[in-house]
Amino acid sequence: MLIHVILAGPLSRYGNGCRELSVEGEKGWQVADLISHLKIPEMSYSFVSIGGRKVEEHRPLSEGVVVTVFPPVSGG
Amino acid sequence: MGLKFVQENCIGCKLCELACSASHEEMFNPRLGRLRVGSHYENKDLKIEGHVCILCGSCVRACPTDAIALEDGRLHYTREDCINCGVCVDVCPQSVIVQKEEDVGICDLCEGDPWCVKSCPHGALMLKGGTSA
Amino acid sequence: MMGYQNKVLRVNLSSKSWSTEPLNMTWAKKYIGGKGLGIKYLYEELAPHTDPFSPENKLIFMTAPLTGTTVPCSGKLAIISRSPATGTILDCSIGGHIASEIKFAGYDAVIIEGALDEPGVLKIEDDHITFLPADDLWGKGSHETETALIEAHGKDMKVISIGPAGENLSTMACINSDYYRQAGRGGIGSVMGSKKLKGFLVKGTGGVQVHSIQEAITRINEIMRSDTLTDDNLWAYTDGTAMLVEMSHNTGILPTHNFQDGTFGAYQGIDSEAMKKARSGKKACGSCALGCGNFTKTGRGAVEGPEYETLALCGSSCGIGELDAVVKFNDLCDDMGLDTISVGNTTAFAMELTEKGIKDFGLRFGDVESYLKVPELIARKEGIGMELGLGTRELAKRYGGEDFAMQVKGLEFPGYEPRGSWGMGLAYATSDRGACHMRAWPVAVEAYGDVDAFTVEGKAQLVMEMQNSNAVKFSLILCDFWAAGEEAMAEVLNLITGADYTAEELLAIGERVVNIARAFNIREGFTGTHDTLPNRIFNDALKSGATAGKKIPREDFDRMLAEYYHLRGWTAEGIISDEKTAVLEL
Repeated sequence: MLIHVILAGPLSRYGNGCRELSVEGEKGWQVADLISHLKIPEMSYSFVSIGGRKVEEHRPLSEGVVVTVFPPVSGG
Repeated sequence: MGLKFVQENCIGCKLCELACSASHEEMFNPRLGRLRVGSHYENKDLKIEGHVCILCGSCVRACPTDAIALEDGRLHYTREDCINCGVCVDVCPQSVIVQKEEDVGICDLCEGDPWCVKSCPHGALMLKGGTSA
Repeated sequence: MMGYQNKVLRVNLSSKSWSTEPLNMTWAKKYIGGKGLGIKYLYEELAPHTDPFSPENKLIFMTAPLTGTTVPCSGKLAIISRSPATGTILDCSIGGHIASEIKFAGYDAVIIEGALDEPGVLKIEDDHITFLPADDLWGKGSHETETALIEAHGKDMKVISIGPAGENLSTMACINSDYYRQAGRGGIGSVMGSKKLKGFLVKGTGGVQVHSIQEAITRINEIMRSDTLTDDNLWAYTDGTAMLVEMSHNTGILPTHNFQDGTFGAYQGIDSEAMKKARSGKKACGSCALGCGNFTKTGRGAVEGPEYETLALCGSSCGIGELDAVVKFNDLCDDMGLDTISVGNTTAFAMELTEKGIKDFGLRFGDVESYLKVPELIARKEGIGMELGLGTRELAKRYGGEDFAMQVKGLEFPGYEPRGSWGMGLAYATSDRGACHMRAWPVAVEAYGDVDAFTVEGKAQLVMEMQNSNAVKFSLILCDFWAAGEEAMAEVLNLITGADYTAEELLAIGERVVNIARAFNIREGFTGTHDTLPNRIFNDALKSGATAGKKIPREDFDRMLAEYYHLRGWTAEGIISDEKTAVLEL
């Protein structure tokens, strides 16, 4: 199934420099599977959102979903 | 060969000036660095400037005692021959020669591994013929 | 210990005289520099109950041993005084390039005492100190002032200035430098205004000497590569703080319509993607490897920023989703010398009072044209600005709406909804200068991380640890955008000073700093009753997104606060116990 990924901030490094990319995922994938597939280390992201809302790692993914991955931040 | 300043990558942090002065003068003093960079606002616009030694040889030609030589792709400074006349400081088109109390500060590319290039966080300084950090 | 200049410049504006003295190294060993050492100096030198606007109040500009070196993110200056907005201790932090310049001029600190008879500017050129008249600058914006001073005195002068807001003693007045950098909160700019000090100029031709400099620069460079330029810090370079707009919206903590909600439908008009389309350049403070500054140009104007706090409090909280409007508002605040956090909050409060029919200020959520008039009116104390400039607490006393005057101790909320990050509620309530996100920032692990945001369990411990860590970080001084742990902090501090601090010792110093700030406040009459939150947080549930239905039950907050006092070794009334005082060696 096709998953659209947005890699925020410095995480575009895990998309070969692209902030937005599409990934061919497997049926039954959860958010955590997508993260491993992209080879993003645990320490390198803070949370993931779908539809403008933070989701848990075990959230299942569906065809055409848009997933945004955010880096950790230390202040604002 | 020589240093190249990549303006679009410079954020004006001046880590290069501080590292240069530290490695050559045993203290952190940007005015003693053999390069000048900075970002400032002028007329509500952001200006980024960088001046590095471009190996033009003006100082070599101007020095009355041949205290500065250009060899092996970099400048060599012989302190014992320097009479501290300051002519090199004046002729440098980049204004990166440092006038000190008893002698001058010349960019010698840190003998091949420039501190400024190493210190730059985002690749605004490169050693041509080499790579940026 | 190396890294220090071992010299303090003390300036008396009343007598237009100055002197230098050695830095108190006994205190420096216990407080390092920056926030901690500055508060210690003020605690010892200021009489209790000193009127913040009197000549007896002091303005302490404090650097630290790391200032003026290649330690990444070390280019900030601490500014300490007694706050006109809250009456508490006030330590602010300003970036740009002024901190390093003070060190290069040969000083660890500049202490300003007394007051001028007429508006003036102080010029510091190494050891040449001059008092210059500034009648021609008084009344002018900070930007025009900085330009005029640079034109008159040279491009290599670094400038600090106040705008009309500080001159008019606004409790929201800030101090500016490098055009777009501020020491923002608590009315610090009006302390300068009360001293008729329009600004000061610094030029320093000297240097900073450190322990074993060749070893230091080698190891520091390695640390920069391995510890600073990493995924968890580079958001500051790639996006800047604007990235937090989408992160806060996604987690339901983006202040919207005066904290009535935690998500803002139009957030994509003011998020980091919107900012990148208008980005004109990047700028760093001195010695900063990250460079969070974004120079942004839109149809309405240009500004370095807006930072997240401004996008939240002057954007979503006011119902404004247009970047160019926020840019204009930001530029006006910077030029007038106003804290965007307090101005934004007060504007949103006035919008809610208007819409609820409590008091008509002619302001409405989302109405750009009336909103853009606010900064200048506040700065010059004209029209509605006369009342808005009083801040949310005073406005609420006059007209009502106390439950939704979003402030603690008289300082307005920063841009994180505590009902979506309960530890943040404790952080706001217990911060030394009023509601502040810089003392502890549990948002990083609660809203943006894996720690359960909707419980008070473990939050007292979390907030205490974060406060201790940030307190020592701001005493070294390091910018918190480098998420340096205590081990890294100890290593760089030891490389510069030649000392042998351990991570544990640094955290103990952090605890000491938090407590000296607390002691200052207790001496001014603050107790645990002041460590609270507006009733909106306890009574009103958020409406949408990830935090729909959330509020903090009062009993839970009380429990969290009681646990915090217990962990800190304070009494149930929030006073430092005698046992704790003995141990801390304040």
